[in-house]
Amino acid sequence: MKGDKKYILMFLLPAAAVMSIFLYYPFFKSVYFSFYRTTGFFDKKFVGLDNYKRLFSDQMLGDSTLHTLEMMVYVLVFQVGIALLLAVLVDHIKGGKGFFRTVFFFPVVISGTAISLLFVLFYNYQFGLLNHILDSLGFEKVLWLDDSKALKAVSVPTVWHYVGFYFVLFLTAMSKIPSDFYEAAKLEGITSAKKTFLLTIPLILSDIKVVVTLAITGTLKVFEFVWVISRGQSGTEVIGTYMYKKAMVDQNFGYGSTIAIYIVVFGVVLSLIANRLLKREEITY
Amino acid sequence: MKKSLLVSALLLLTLTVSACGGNNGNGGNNGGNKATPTPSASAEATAAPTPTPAADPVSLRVFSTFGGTDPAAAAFQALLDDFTKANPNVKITNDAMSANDDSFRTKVNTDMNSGNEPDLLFYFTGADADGFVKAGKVVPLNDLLDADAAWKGGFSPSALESVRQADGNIYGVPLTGYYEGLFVNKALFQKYNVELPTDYDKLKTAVQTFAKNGVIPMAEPFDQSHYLIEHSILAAAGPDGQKKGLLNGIDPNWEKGLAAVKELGDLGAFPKDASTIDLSMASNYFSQGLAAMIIEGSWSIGGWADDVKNNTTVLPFPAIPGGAGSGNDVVGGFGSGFYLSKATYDNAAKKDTAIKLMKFLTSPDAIQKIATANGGTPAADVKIDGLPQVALDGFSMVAKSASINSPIDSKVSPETFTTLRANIQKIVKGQTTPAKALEEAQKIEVANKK
Amino acid sequence: MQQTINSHVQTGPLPARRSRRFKPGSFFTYLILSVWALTTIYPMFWIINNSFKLSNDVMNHSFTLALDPVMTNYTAAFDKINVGKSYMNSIIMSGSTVLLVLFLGGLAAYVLARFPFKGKRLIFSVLYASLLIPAFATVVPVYELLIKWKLVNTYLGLILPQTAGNLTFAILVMAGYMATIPKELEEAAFMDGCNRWTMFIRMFLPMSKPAFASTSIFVFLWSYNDLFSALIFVNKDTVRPIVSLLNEISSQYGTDFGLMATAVALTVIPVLIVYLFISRFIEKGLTEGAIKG
Repeated sequence: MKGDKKYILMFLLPAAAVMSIFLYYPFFKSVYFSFYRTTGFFDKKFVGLDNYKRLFSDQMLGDSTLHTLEMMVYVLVFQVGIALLLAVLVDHIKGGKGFFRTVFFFPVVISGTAISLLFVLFYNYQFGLLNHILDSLGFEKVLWLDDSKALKAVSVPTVWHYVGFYFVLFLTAMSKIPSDFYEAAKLEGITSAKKTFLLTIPLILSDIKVVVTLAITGTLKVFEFVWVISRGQSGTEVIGTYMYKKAMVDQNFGYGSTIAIYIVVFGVVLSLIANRLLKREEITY
Repeated sequence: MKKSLLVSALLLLTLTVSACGGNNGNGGNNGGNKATPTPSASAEATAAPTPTPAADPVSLRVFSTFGGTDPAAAAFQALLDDFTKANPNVKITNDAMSANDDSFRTKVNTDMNSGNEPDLLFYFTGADADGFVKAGKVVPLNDLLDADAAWKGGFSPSALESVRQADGNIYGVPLTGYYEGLFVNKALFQKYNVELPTDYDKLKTAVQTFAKNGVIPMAEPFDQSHYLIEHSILAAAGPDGQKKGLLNGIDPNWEKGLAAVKELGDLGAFPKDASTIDLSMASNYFSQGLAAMIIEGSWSIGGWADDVKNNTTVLPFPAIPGGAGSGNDVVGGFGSGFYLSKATYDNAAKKDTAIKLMKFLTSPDAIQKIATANGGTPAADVKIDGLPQVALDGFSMVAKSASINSPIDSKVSPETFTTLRANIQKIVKGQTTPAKALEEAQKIEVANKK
Repeated sequence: MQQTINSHVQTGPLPARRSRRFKPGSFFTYLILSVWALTTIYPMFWIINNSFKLSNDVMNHSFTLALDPVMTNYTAAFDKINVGKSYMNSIIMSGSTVLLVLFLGGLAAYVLARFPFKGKRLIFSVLYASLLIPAFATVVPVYELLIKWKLVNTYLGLILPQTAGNLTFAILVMAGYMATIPKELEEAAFMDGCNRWTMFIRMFLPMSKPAFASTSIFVFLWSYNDLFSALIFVNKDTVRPIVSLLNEISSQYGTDFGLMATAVALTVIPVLIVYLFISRFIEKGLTEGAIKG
């Protein structure tokens, strides 16, 4: 269409401006920091690629990357899976739609810190809910956060927290499927299960893609749950907490920034892979 | 051509931004921050007073940790109110943030580094303050102290001594201090007929007895093992060995300290969930009477349940055999103080008022009020009433001690200390050795200080 | 719990949105949904229940009913922070963030969804990449900018960084939704002589209501719960948002779990009430969005 170029620029510029100033420029400043050794902010020494060399020989970073990937598997399978299942089910029922939609969203409203606190009191060895139950049933108390279970234990609230979030996104997506699609399906006499797999899911595939990307990037930024529940001990250190420890606790901004860049690169690679796997033509109705 | 329009627009934007935002605080690649802020750089949106003779309205910003739920928050605000009542021309902004926030340090450092210095800053002394002290952001107070005998005489000499920076100057004047020690629940010791841990063997016996009886011997978390590390190393290496830090090699006695942690761990000293609890949960175990001992600081007394508090006393961590510790060395001191920023000192309109306020806030009377509120060691020779017996025990422990030491984390860089903390769980579980953990920490220390 | 099994097949002449057959399977459907609903309701109840207990009781009996509620925590919380003022601050800052994000993001999403132009892929890649930028990596440079522009401890000092941080998500979600709006409508509107601007205002805004609704909820929540930025950019008591209460409560003097629960309750309840209130409208938005043409 003629004159579109003007509009493209005009419509994109405001958002681009805000993001450049408050997101990209600060991030590039972090990139700049990554070539320095910093203590606080006063002593900056140019150290070239030292931080990057350290990155590749950093055992802790390797471990936290693996933990993050394991958590990502749980998130993709359970968080996105449960959200999709719930959305399909709610889409199918007649009564109580609004009720479930409202209630499923509750956890998203609570901040991660608060949820973590809740789970601290679930898992606590001395007087947590789980051991309280075991104890009253005459079983031995279990250490829920030992090496073999800790990462799974931390993943439970992580997954639970955001199911409602993706659920609402899926539901929004399903709402835009024109009803004549379903009308046609009904005439064909297709069962609901078939309808779900043949119609609904393919039709919202582009949204599933967005959600998967959000889930991947979200997992890379997981922080509060690990920080509050397990302090990154017992094999639960994830990239987010490791970076926080380096940048905020140790005040080593140089290396902290280097880890931030690593997170971004790592995430871009993962998103590209995910998008490649889910590649399909977008459907416009 | 056309396609790159947008990209170049984006680039252009980024460039303009970095051009107008890139020349303060990151002076090219020489690393030094030479861009001096304008003298009246007050971040307050209030109209900056023009430099004219005194009694003009002055607004000062005080940044401290006396906020939120800090027990001294109300007392501190009352002091500021007293000051403004006596000096109606002064407006004080009480900026406060909790010190246990990691972002607190970030905020202070950024403020100090970007021309947003508070006029008075209450902050840690020692390694934490090195950055802005070296950068000349705060004023050495020696001359001011020497010029005002009444003010200087108000402090206990030892308190003033303990806030000296490495360069021999005093930048932060103290208010209240703290001590740390091995707090023991006497009632539990009586119940199981165990002797108090006055030496290492008795400590081991106590640990074994409690462990056998299902009481947590020592409520120590692995991740936040600050106090455990501080005390075991001090008890093994002694004051001199501890002061060495890690920069110039590893004192062999440090290893003995961590080996003792491992030994105690093998005897079942630590809670089963030591790897996942934090300090407040550990403190809670002690407060609930689930644990017999805890290494903690004087500030935690106020938070314990009354029946435990009234049955608690505090001892120095016993000397570890084969080391250089005396068994009577305690960790403590005055780890924080009031700083006067250079920008304020150079601002004629504010200088005198700010100094006056600082003297007021660190007068014996003010120190007494704050110490009464938070149970800390007063930096002046004043009487504090209404303290529980355990706090008095603590003061007498400090008074009788062979040496008072600032903790290890003021001797090594923060990252080094975190590395040690991260290894405590592995040491106790036998996944690494004390020697290896110290080597790893030393590497980090060298990298940080080179 | 809602166990009304509706086995009534709707075959009216009215343009029902979607008519379905109901099977015994729907019992299990409701069972699954109800179980999940339990997991989401109970924690809310737990928090509110425990906010009426003393810390020791939270520690030791956090799962019993607070039969004799104590108000100590609430009085303590109101002493620590000016709750009313903080709510106001939260509403002003988070509300403005939402409006700004919707406006800037809506325009950008419209362009990215409906215009073919070169470099679009690149922009999308950049957007996906910026989802990954952790807050810790930008906080210090942003703070320095705010100091320079004298925006620390002002509303704008939180609104601008949060807007930048949330735009990415908003653009992706809204663009995803707008991409599915039928092309014919656009062409028809163009024939009617609408220019791009009026087309956006008159057509795309109303059509994209569901996407705007869900985006605004998420952005509001993120902004509202964002403690990290609030601590650094707006920590003065006159401008700090309610989430700072959480932080005020967890101080270096041990954790008071009763007080913590209260802080969480005070943070969560207003949002919950608002959410309950507006969810009906959102639902309306969702169904409206579904009826096309």
